[in-house]
Amino acid sequence: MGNKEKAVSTSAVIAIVVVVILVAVAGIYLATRGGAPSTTTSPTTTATTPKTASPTTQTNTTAYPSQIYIGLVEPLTGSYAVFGQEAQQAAQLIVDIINNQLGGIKSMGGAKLVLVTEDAGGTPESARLAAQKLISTYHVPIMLGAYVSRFTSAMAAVTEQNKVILMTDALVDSLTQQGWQYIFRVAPKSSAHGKAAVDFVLDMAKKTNTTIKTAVVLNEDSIFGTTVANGAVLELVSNGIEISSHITYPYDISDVTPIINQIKQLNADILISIPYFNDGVLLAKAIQASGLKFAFIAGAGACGYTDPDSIKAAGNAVLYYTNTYSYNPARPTEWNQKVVTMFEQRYGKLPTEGAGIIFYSLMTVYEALEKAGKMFPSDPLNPDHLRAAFLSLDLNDTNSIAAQLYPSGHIKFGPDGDNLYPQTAILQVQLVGGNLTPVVVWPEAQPGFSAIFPRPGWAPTK
Amino acid sequence: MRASITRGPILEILILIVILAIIPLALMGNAYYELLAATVVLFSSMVVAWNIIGGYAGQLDLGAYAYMGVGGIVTAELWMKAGIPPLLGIFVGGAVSALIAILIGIPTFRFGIKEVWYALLTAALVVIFNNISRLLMGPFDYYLPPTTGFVYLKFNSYVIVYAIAASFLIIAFLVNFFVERSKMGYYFKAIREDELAAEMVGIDTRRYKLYALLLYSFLLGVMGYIYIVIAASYSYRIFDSSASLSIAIMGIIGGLGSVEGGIISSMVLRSLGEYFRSTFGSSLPGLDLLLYGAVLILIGIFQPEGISSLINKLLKRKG
Repeated sequence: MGNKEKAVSTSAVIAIVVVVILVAVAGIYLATRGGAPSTTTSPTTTATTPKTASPTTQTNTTAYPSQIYIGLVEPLTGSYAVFGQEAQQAAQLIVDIINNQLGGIKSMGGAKLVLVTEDAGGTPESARLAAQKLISTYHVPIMLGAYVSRFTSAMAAVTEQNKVILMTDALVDSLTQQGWQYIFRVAPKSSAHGKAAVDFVLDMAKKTNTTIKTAVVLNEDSIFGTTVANGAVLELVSNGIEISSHITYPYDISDVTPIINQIKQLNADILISIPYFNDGVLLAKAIQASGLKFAFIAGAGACGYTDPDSIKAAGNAVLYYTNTYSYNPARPTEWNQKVVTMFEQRYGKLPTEGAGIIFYSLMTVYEALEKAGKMFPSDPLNPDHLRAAFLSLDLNDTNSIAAQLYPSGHIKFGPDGDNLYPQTAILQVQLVGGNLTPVVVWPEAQPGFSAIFPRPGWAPTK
Repeated sequence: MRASITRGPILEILILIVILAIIPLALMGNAYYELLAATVVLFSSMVVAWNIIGGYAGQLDLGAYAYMGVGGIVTAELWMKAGIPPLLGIFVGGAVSALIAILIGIPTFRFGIKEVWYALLTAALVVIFNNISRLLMGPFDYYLPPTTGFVYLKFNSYVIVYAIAASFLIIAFLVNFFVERSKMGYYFKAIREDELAAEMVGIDTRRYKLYALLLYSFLLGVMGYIYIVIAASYSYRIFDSSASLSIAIMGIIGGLGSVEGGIISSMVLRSLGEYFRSTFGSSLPGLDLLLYGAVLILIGIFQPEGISSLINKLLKRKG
């Protein structure tokens, strides 16, 4: 055995050399080939102020780039792939709309957007590599991603250093609290989801003269579930509602009986619940079986209860349940209806959370690019000019497409990069023609519908 | 064959150093390839460190990320909570990780847990650490301060991150080198080949297995912080069972006890995995994982003794 290893050590030296040379050669080949033939003219990728304009500028007679690369990093494999793939589809649709229907970026001579997508992989490491590759290969001035908070923070390490705008679709609050300069987020952050669920319940209680004094908060204990719940708890406390209990559990819980028994003894007025998917089904069924009565059961965090799969699995156990969403596919603005129809035609399904956030985030990028072209005609893609353009945006339903796609109809960035007018749409499971259907009920109800509140069959106990 | 003991390995280390020094030059300042090189080399150094316990001492340890994570989190927390710069902190991290390894190793080896049971125990360790750190840290992401500088081992240039990872690789290689050539190395091999026989000839197998565990966990603990620097944030998810398993897989594919095989397998397969992710990830999602799995299976079927024996065969055929 000892001899064998010696033989290995001498011979393997040569092998190491061969392999490393091969890898290096392959690396150089890939580096020079790049992803697209037109992107290799400026190899100085580590420069702190990257030349973000596409190199084809030189061949163009105008001062504007003929195309602008937009990076997208999403989890296309692994457990978050469902969301990432939908986001990728949405991004491609919006880019096509911008290029074909809106005539590209008009303030930059009609420059077309080119979407370049990378899989975030399964670790922060790979998400960082993905972001770095987009910058090194395409010199993207703007990037979107990456749904998962820890992937996004790994991306931000790259985008901040290279002064690339990161428009994130990850909702966890802390991402915009790190003092990062180039991060923007249109979507409502996770605590805004929790807050919206409470605001909705209190608003409806006021309208229906229902007295609500106590609440139970129940959430799956991931970083997302926890931050959504924190938003709800804060809003409950500041409205003087007593929190009887705040219960957390792992999202892959298989037996919810102890939780139900605990809730039973509390006799609270409302339940604010932040589920994932399967746990939501289990909870709804167990609550139905136990005969627990609440004035209202409101979900938050855009997962579970009101999505088609959960409704299918839980049946009428989720009737009258609500959940908060970052996107409202039923919003009756012209462009929202148009985008939803186009998405349905192209992909044969309704756009949900993952697609919706990309709709308005990417459309906001479009508005910012238009603005940058007007504000800084000589160098619109300079990172600080872009940043200034994003910060100067004040979008509403009348002056922009982006705002028409957003639940609050209003987009304006604060100094931390978060939208100052976050809003979520609330969907409720109702019986429509005998079928369990999710309908938008708040802040503006879908035409012909209104929120059913309090839960039928509930009576105030004394 | 014996002549190679004195000349071969020293030459080998020199060649490794030269190659590691050439790589950044070959990448021509492409930041993506520099970052990739840093992650690949860091991964390789973990595999080389694993070789001490898995390759020489023959203990199928699947808990690499448990020790790596503990070291990394301790270093990061020492910086953020106590202001101790990571340049010092990494050694404390390594020491804490080694201490924990010893505390676990003493009863483990005392009660003769070995082979598959040792593998299961160490795999469970990652899950246990995952749960404990979740209780202590909550589900949140923790971000390193934006400060850069040598004492913080944080830089704006990937080349320096790469250089640190490369020095870890060289250090891990040297530790392997000295272990292999020492009395301890022979004891390790005796334990790997036949633990009972090793005990019969008077080797204190418990103690030497503990030494192997100590070296391995200390090295991984020191490397943990650089892993966090590359990932940019940390949470309880650093204790990742499947990533931990991949360290042992690379060591096995490379050939047990062969440092060179481990370096080759980890570098080639990790780069290949990244190439697949990047090339096919957006057009054919999941194909990277499929191809990656296929490569593993092929090597498993045709070269179960690892890459090192393949190289041997090829060289013999030529000779």
